[in-house]
Amino acid sequence: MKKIDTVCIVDDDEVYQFTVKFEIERTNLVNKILFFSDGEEAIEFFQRKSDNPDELPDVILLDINMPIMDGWDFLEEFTLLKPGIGKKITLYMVSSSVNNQDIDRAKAISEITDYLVKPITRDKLLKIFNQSLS
Amino acid sequence: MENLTGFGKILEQSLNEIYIFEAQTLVFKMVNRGGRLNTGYTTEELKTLTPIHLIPGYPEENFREFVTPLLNGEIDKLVFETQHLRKDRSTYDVSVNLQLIVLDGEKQFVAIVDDITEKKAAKTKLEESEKHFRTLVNHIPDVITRFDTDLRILYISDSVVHYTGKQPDFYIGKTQEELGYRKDLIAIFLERAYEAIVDKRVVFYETMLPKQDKGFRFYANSVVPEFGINGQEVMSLLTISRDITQQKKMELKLQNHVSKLKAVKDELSGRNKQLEDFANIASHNLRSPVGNLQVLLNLYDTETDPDKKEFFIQKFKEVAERLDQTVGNLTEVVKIRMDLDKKREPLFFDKILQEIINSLSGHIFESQAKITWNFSQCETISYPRVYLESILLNLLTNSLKYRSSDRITEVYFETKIIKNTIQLTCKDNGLGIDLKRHKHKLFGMNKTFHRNENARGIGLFITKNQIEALGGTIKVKSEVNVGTKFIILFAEKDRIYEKNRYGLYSGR
Repeated sequence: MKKIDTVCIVDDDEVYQFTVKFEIERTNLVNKILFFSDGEEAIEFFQRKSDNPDELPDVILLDINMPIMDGWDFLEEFTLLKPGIGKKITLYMVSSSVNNQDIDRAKAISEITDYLVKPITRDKLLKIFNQSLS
Repeated sequence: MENLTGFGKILEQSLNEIYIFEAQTLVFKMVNRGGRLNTGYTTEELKTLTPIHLIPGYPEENFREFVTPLLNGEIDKLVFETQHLRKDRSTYDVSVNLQLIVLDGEKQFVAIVDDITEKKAAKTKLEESEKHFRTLVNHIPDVITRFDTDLRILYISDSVVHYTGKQPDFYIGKTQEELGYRKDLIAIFLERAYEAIVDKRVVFYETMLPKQDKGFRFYANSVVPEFGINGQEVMSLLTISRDITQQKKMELKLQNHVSKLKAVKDELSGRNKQLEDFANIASHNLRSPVGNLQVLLNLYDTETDPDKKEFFIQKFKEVAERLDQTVGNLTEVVKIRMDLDKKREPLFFDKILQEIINSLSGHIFESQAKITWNFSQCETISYPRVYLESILLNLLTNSLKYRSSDRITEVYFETKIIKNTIQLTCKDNGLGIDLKRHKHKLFGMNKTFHRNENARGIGLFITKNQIEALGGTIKVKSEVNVGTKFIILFAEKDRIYEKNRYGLYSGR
């Protein structure tokens, strides 16, 4: 069965990291999960590995509300980096916010494939992973 | 009369009426053409007449008495105005110049007479129009004053009585100094009058004068230069003062309303911002732990391994506890925002700060921080004690928490009076905050900007809410790796004024 190689979680919420890890593992569609607790940690990783596409993730689940560097800040830096990366990376914005302001802002950014409202259930994960694989 | 000399011809043809009559008999010896035409008598008729016939209702004795000083040589001439009676019994006004001459050894009177009917009519008209004008001036509510160039009052309209209770006579002939006006008001008037005279233009200005009883009246004044006949030189000044107290009161009322509306608007936009803040908090700080609880519950339900089940329930408890904390913090903030009339008391900054330093002595000892302050410019504040304690505590713990390990930590507190309000600053030499990135969320709930394990991101959020609830503001200046400075501006009403030794109120 075809699998996604790497999924990357950028979120400061430990409990969320913990639960989403379980749920992703249970889908059996992902080989490897990378965790970052804020945007800065994540963007530093992408900068380091931009020449090395094999180590970069295929799917990013990006939280909005994080300390140090939040989801929007990360996106700004990531957009600059993306043209230099020789790999298709699908990015999902993930947040517990149901504010239209946040949703509209996300929809206006072409780098974002979709906006997912927390909690992230197994059904939601299956749907996006299957999209990525097809 | 038929033997006229050259000079006689001139007299005959003069446009003035010229009458020559004998000093004794008063009978006319000669009347020129002008006189004959205007009176309607012929030369022949006139030879039997005297001036008494020409002046209606004037007895001969009176006339003789009137001309006696001329006969005696006491005076050279008599100039007077009277009326002439024509042959047809109609009359006309004349001005007369009467002299005594000696002709052919006989004393004779020469009267040079001017018909002043038109002049007199013009004068009457002038008097009438002036009377009209005065009536007009005296019946408009504005006070109109005419000054000479020494700024002495020549005329003031009757309306002045309404404002001062004094009649125009009280003012006429006096300067403002002589009237005992206030020196500052005289100075303003002199300045405007000078401007009007030098620049030759109308000058406008407003004044506020005390009323007779109490309160003030506002006046709009115009200073108008009046030019002489040549149109160049200013001969006098007119001032027109209009009572604009009512308009002024309306204007002040309007201003008052506008500033009140502005305050309401500011208050509303502040409330709006708060609502937005709370919506944000609800999204991030409440929805996400609730979502976690849902997922954990789902994991628990679908798990069969009892060890894992136990593990999930453990996590569930942790999340629930943190959620409880968040709800507690939020409740506290809502309480701060609602509890606007929290009891104030006079507090000394240094006393409260010392208490906080004592309570944090463990942390301070561990961090080796040097804490200094200068509250000499403003030692006291009227504020709820718990808020001031909480503000100073949060600022100090913030500075200690985010200290730099590269240098000895220094924290400095200071108060100042800025435009009548107290400003409190807290300056440290710690890690600093990248404001370009974080300014908009600096005072948000659960925001941290450092990978510091005891950063909870609640202190500044509470501090900001406490300050704003009482009408103050908090601002921050910071540079990464140099330090941070928090600037709190309290509300004007928080300042304590004390009577100084002169008995005057002053801020300490």
